[in-house]
Amino acid sequence: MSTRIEIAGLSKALTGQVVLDGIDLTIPPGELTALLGPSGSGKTTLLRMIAGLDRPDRGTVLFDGEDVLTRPARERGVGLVFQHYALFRHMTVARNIGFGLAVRKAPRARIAEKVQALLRLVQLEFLGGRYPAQLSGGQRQRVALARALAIEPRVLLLDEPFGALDAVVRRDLRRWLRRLHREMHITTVFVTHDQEEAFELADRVVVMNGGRIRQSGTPMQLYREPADSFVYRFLGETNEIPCRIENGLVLAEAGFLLGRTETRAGGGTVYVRPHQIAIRPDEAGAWRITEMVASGPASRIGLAREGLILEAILPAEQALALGLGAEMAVEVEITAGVVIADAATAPAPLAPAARLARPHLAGQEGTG
Amino acid sequence: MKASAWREPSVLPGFAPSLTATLLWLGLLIIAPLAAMVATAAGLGWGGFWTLALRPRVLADLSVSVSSAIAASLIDAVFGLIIAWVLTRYRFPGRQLIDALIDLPFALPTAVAGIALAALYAPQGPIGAVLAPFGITIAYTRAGIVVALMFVGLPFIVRTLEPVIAELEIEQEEAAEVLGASATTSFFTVLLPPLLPALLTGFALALARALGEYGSVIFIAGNKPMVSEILPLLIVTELEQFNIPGAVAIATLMLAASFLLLIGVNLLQAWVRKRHGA
Repeated sequence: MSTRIEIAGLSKALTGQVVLDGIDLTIPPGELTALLGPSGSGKTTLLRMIAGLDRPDRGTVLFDGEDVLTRPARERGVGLVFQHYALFRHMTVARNIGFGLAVRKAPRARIAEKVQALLRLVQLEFLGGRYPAQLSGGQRQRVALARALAIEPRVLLLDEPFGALDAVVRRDLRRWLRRLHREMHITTVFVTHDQEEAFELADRVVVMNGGRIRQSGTPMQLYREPADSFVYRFLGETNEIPCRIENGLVLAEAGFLLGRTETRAGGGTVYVRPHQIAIRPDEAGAWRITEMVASGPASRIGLAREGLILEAILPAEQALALGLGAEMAVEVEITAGVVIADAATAPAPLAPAARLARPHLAGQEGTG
Repeated sequence: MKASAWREPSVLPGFAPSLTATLLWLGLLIIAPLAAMVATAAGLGWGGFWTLALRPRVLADLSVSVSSAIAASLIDAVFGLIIAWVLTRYRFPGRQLIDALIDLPFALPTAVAGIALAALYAPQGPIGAVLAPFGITIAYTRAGIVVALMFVGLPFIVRTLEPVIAELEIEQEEAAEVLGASATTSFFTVLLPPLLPALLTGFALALARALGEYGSVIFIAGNKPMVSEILPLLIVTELEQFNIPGAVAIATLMLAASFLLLIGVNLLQAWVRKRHGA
């Protein structure tokens, strides 16, 4: 019942500007996939090509092995949810949901029955007679989803589905969509620029930039083994430290030791997430706390040493227990991270200065 | 009870002076001349009025005026919609020029338009000569009246529709297509309904203009009494023969007919707005 999507060599240029550059992607049946990337990365164009609203210059799109590029959007049997809902404003909620069945000339009784079932599914049972203008943003998005599901699509596509909603509604809808997908098991692709959203919802995340796929994999794979600096940067907050590597030792520009790596020598950059930095109060420590901001459950701590500035995040309780405060002298250890040598694009794991490698980092060798 | 019961509190002061200005202005410009006319008509008495107003020639001309105006405005509505669509949705060389051309019927003295149209559509004219072998004559018939009224009414339709078309979300059409709607279905179920209120407004304006139009029509109509003579022309004819009571009676009849027609269109508009939730 679920459809496999196979995309190969998909390319598109608009007025000389490359929008998509040779996209190869297979989406297994029933999987929930996120296309993640900054604006202009081509993710929405890719989604629109699967839907049939944009045409590629080259390449193929197959649904279960069948070429759909020759078919217009109306014959592809896809459900599409737009960022700004695109509900028909002059129709009631019920007529919006039934639209796809009405244009297929389904019998009235069947449409009414299906609309009722979908209204129940999206938890809007009593709002069928309302107009879209009378609904909240979250309700409109659920109507849009019900409208897309009414035609029993082979593939469900969502373009920034939660982009226009506020944070709380967004979180609720996300969980609800996740549950819905688990029940229906329809092949689903959604576009987002929010990595948290992609990680929370998707079975698989496809990171795009500049019209290309930079990396695709499970959220855990991407987070632990980013393919390059773009992916690393895009997936969370990052400290970037210019460094040089001598005999496997990673040194800051000022010459002090940051950690160890497999790479032998050359210039490079160390990427460290704020929570991968351990802090220990030490009156003789070379580091100084420049500022400390308590933002809810986490404390953000600015650290400085010889012109190098880092940002660390610690659980608020831990910062309190250690008695950290501004202007304090501390010792700092980078517990994990990656090094990207200037000569390479693939990251190598960074091991703490004290030990050569930790067990969980050893497995990352040669990946990416 | 204070006046606040029937006015919304507003940040801007000056409800009283602005309403006074509105009533004064409407009174001087619209109500006073029309009232003077109706007062003169009232001087005729019911019997005298109806005898003058219900002459066969008057009724025939009224029917020519009203039916031509409705026909012309309906045709304008269709082609005005297409023109407004093309001008709003597409970018092509010469678009600005065409856009400027739309307003010309507003600016041109209507008599000039009438003479030009008559010359074109006359049996010897460039267009008339092409149509003549097929037995189609435009100039000096009721069809000629409709052509002239279409000319003066077109800008009203185009100009009222343009901003509304510009505001339509293209995503709605895309949503309809993905849901399986053909282009025709999309047009009638998704595109047209939000445009209907504006289309009706444009239609009402064009209709109002067409009912009162005189200058362009008389040159192309042929003005054959009972056949291709419009009511405004009959009023002028009566005046030229110093039949003031006759002219006043006809004018009053026309006023009533136009007023009823426009109220009808307004009611239709209100109904459409309500139904399609504008």
